[in-house]
Amino acid sequence: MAYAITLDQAINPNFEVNAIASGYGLRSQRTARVQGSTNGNFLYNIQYTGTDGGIFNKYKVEGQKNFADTREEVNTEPILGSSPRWVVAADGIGVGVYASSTIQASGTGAGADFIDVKSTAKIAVLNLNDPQITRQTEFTIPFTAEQTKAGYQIGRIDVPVLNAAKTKIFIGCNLSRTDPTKQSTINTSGNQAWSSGTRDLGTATLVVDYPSLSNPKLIYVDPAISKVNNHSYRTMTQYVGTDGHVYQATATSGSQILRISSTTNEYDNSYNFNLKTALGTANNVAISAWRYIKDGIGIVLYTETGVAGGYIALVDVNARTATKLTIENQTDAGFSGLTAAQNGGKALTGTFGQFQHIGVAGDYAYVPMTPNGVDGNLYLINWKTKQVTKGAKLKNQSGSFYLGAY
Amino acid sequence: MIERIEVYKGVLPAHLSGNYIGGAINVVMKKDASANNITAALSYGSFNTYRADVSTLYRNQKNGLTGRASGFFSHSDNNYEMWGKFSKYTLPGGRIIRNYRTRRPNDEFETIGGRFELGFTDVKWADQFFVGYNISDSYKEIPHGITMTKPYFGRFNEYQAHVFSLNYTKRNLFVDGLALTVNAVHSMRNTYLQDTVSLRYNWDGTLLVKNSEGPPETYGYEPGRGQQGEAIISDIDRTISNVRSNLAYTIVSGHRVSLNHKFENSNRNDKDLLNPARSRWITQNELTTNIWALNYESELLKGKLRTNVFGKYAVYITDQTIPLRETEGVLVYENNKTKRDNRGFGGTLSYQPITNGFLIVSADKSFIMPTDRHIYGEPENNLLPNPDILPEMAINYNLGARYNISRSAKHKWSFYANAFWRNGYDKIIQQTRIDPVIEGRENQVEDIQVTQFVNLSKTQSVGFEAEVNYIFNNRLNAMFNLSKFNSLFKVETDERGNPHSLYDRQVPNEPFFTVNGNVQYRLNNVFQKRSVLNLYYNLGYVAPFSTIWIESEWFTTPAQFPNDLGASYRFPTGKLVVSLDCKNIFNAEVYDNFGVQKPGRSLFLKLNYTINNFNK
Repeated sequence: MAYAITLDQAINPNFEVNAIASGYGLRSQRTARVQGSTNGNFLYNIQYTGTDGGIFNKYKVEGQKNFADTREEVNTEPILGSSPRWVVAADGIGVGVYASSTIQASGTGAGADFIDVKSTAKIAVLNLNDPQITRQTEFTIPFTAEQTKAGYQIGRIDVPVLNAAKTKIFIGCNLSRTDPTKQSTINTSGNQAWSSGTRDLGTATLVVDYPSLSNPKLIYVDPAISKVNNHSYRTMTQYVGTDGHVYQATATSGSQILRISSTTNEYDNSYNFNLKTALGTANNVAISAWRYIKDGIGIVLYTETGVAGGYIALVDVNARTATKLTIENQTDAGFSGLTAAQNGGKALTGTFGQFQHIGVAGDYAYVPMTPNGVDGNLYLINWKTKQVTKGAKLKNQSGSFYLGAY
Repeated sequence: MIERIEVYKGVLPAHLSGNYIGGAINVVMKKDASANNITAALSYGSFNTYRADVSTLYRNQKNGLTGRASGFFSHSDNNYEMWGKFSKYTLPGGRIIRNYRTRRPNDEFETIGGRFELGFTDVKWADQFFVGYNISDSYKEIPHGITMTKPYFGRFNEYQAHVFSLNYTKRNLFVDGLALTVNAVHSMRNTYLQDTVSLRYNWDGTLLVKNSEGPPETYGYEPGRGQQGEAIISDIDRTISNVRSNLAYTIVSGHRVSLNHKFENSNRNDKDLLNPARSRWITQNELTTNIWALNYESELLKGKLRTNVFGKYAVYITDQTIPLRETEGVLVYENNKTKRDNRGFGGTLSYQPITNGFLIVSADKSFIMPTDRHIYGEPENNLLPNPDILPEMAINYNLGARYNISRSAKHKWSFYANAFWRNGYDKIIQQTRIDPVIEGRENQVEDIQVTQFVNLSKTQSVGFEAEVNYIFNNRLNAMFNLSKFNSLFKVETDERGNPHSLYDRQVPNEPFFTVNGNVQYRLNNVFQKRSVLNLYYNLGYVAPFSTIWIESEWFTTPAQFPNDLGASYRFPTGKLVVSLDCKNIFNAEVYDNFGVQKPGRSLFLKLNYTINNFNK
């Protein structure tokens, strides 16, 4: 559901928004993966499963619950499947990605030996201004033969971003390793299952040329700096900074921001920003979402291991500092989620794990803070002064939450 | 072949108690063995649909030996036109055209079969005794998944069934007033599934083109892929045994006790024909159900008051043989057995306070056992298993009334109304899986739409139905009925313990308001003396319903209003009947519960020929 408000309405704590009851329903059988245009005039969505899974829709924002479906639809299902992962990689350019890996074994069932693994990637580039697929490609992810025989594979890729020079696309990867020494077992569904091995490779990023989508390459950060995956989940977590470098968070399970140099298009191993160290917390911290605003200032949404709630911090990636902000309802477990065991039998999905977009306009970053099933508010964070203002009221419903401001 | 169709609402009569709730439809086959005959029927109609049936009955009057045989063949291309909003065409470059008019592809169906029964009727030791054998072979193409997301070209099923049956009915068995009915069926069914075509198509059968500029590039072959997902060739063997017995004893006139037992055992064996080595690792599933029911029926007040009280007990056992590992070439299995039982009871009362007026009240606490599909799933259809699924339980209340007016010979009216209130617990519904992403397992299943049968803890269906029947001069027969019922979500609190926002909402994918009307008129001696011409007209209406939980104009199946027209003409000899049926004459948009469009206007011609008493 989507609802559009003015900036004056956003900052007014007495203004009430009920997107669920009075909003516009974006077409999607399940949770939509919505993206917005940089100028805020359009919303884009690729439908997630269902009768129209894989169909791209474009909506013109006209205020309140008026979103005009431009009826310019594109079918991305043949290349990306019916549950595509995609983001706005640069203004007017959407990039959708898909990856899968297949293990080659000596036999079927339990007791088979691991031989090799092959990972495949598919990429499609969407022209958002004149919707259609401008280019698509499919290739084997270029691990070395040594690496694949050692069990390394990439089963999922996400959050593609275009570099400043618009010559390369960097894509986050879910790298994992099967232990090649252990034989297979059978899982409860009767399928062949394998054990995980120890990972020695650092955080990986898949790189292709733009606009040709050719020349695929894998780059790794120094494993001493980070071995945590950077494939994120629903939200964009890598950005081109004001200085032209790409700043990439090891979201959504890690706490670091890494840098890909604009000159070499490789990881800058001299750079390591760790949110946990910058905040000085004892507990481990996981970045759920973040956005680079300007001149090194960024805003981060994170959760803390063992602590209920969702937290916001303003970071300076140049100075490598972080300031934790205070939001009224931040300790609510509806942000971080609860397992069935923790919640008397019914699992509770956390808002932060599904977060999609942090809005930025002028001096403010806009973050809706509604725990799962509970009302909340839109918070405005002045990224220059670090002041937090409580804004419009957000009315919620069971099992729902607001997952982004665009 | 069909004698009559009985429709029961609410509590079922003793001889039909089984794994059902809310009502049942009982198709009663012709048992009249008095006249020997052969019947043949041929029909041809829209979408290249043709059908041939032959059936014959023979009875030896001296010793009661009776034989029945029938054969059928049917074929349809099912290539009706589709144009609804989910019928799309993808242009080169990905742009979509909606409401694309095209003929439904890849939905051909063909079946051939025969049925043979031999036995005795109306002899000293049996009213009916038959042993029978049924054989059938079918081919069915699969045009798409549950919804119309994308078309499948080259995915099909082949079915084969061998069924052995035994029927025995005897009134006054051993003692007067004791009746026994036994129906036993043993079937061996095989389902073959093949999906190995990896090219990508548009709904009109042309290949999808990737690029909008330059020489067209299509998606080439992808070895190992099929239309729905991975390439698959599989064979599923199901052996199902079913025995239904009913023993009834009439104590005194108007009071009867009966014991009903239903036994069902189904065994499933899957084979992967594409990777035969994998077949050894597939779990073998077996399900055994035993349902016992005890009924007491009585007639009091000179037949004005009838009651039926029953108690029901069911036990079901699931048995899984799961391969774990292989030791020295021998598979080691784990055996998983669960046993669940349930008790139910209820009663129904029918009272005739005035002539031609009846009141029916029934209440019951009943349950439905999950079937092997619910428990074990169907991997070839991306239906996940749910070994912990619970039986569905319902507490039902029904109140109905019927009133007939037939004061004059010419006009006969009949009014019927029924209201029901059903509280469902753990209702078994099919749901798309919603799983949080688990770190390290994200590349599993997310791309293919998987569903699973789950229990919806609390639902409530409240509804009513009304029907009016009018017969004029034994020639005009009119019927009108409407039915409104709401299946509501009744879970009170959500995961946070707060009042659930979906409480009292209509459950999606279920139409809730339907209207049906039917008029038939008989004309005698038209064209020829002693001929009978029957004309009929049907209309139906289904109110719009949603296919997702939130209100959305897009995901609402629109109002459906099909109309049918037809006529049948019986020639003076009484041997030949010609009928012409036109279904959906106004080419209305008609859908199933998941947004899949059903056929538009179609025409069928049928010829039916009967030879009676051929050996006289």
